[in-house]
Amino acid sequence: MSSSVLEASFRDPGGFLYRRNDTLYRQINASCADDYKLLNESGLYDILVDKGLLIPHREVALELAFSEAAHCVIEPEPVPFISYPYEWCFSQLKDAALTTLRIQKLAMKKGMSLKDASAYNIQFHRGRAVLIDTLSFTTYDEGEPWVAYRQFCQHFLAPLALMAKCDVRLSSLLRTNIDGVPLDLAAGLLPLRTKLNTGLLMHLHLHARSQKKHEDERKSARGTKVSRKALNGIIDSLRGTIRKLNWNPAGTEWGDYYAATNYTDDSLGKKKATVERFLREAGATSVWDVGANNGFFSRVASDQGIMTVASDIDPVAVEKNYRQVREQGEENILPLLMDLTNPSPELGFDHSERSSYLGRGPADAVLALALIHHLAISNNVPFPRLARFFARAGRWLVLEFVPKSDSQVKRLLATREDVFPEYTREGFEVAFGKEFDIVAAEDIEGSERRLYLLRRRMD
Amino acid sequence: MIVQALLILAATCALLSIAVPAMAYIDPGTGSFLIQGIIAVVIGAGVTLKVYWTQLRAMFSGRAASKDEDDDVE
Repeated sequence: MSSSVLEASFRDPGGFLYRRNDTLYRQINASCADDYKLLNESGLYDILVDKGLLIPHREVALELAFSEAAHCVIEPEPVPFISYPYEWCFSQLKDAALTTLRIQKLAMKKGMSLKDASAYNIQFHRGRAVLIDTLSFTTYDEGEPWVAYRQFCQHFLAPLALMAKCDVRLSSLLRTNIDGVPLDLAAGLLPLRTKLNTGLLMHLHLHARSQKKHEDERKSARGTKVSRKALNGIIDSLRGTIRKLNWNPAGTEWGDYYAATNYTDDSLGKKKATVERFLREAGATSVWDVGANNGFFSRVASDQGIMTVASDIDPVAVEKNYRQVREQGEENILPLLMDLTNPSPELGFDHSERSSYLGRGPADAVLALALIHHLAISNNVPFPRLARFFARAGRWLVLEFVPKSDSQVKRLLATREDVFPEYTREGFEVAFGKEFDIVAAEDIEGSERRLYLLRRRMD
Repeated sequence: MIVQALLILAATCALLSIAVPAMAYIDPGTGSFLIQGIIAVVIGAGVTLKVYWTQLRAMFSGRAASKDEDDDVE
């Protein structure tokens, strides 16, 4: 029987996650037994699961425990794709923040409190933000301030404020700061006028100043008392501050892509039908749509019940996609922000706390529609390298080849020298033929483009 | 004498263990704890005023206070 502890699961001494024969378990250590018992006996677990705020689990036999420190073992419902805060659009991070605060309010009603408020504890599961860390709860001692307040402000409030008030691309600071954006950094970057916003003034600017003032103090601030009513007020204040932070997508490179493509309505419909047929032929159960834009073609997969990760480089496209997911209650599509020329790397201690994008694969099938010219021409990646990348990403590949005669490629080459003599249909087929078998190829009527269905050779 | 001293020491240790709550596994930050105390006072005053204001407004307009999405949980 093979077992291994998840590399990211080491901070909380209350327990950890491990895999045993491909099943994910969480061991709850004896030191955390009282908290776990209270979570169940107070009714909090049932309430949170009923409201879709906490990942459900079932208790399994203690013999499945990883070590002798175990009080019990639970098997949480699997989350098909783990995503990270630096891959979320504005509204995803905002929803994750509001979910965390809602859980804290409910926990306090039941005599408990979140002992951490890490954005990594939230995942998008069936289209909604849910807490996946069942061990985040501890007994609430009346009068105690919120232990996770600092972490909440760093993981949620600071990046959201920066995205809303400075530039939405500043979410990338979450990639360089694994424990959230330092508050002094955020306070320094935010415009002065944010000091007129009472919530941002208290929770961010004054909070940063207080941290700075007391950073060298070795004494604990445990004497600080905050009544239940006041703590509820603090949570409500955070909630109000975050609700008022907004970002509305304006002009974008891709925002209206489908309104200004090289397709007529008829050829777009035919492309959709071909993609659908290719995916059926591949028998895909998971799809990564790379360069997904607003998820138009991702929905060809997700509407068939296939779990689809729809990534794009453009924050506007991802935002639009996520809003549609939320409004329609779609369960099988996960929009993500991802730059394929510099995808998420392995991060954290020992390079192993957060997985790289490809490290979370491979997918059954990868959709790469109207993308190849951006990688091969805008980013100069030779076809053999691209073929290797896609072979690592998925077992099947549905790829749209866009020739040089296409107006979109002409646009890319208009301002630069054409140093891509191998960028031809034949050159593409030779290079990709080394990694894949070409199962099918079809011209898209009404355009100069061609759709390929490719199967990875190594399988 | 030694027994008495030991008893006092044991009692002191027991008292200390009650007075100091269990440490969190993440650092809550001294500054982050202290600022909550200050914000609590500001917000506490605000909350009290808001409660009176809501009651006063409800009395004249006959409108009930808005409900929170989790008000069903007691």
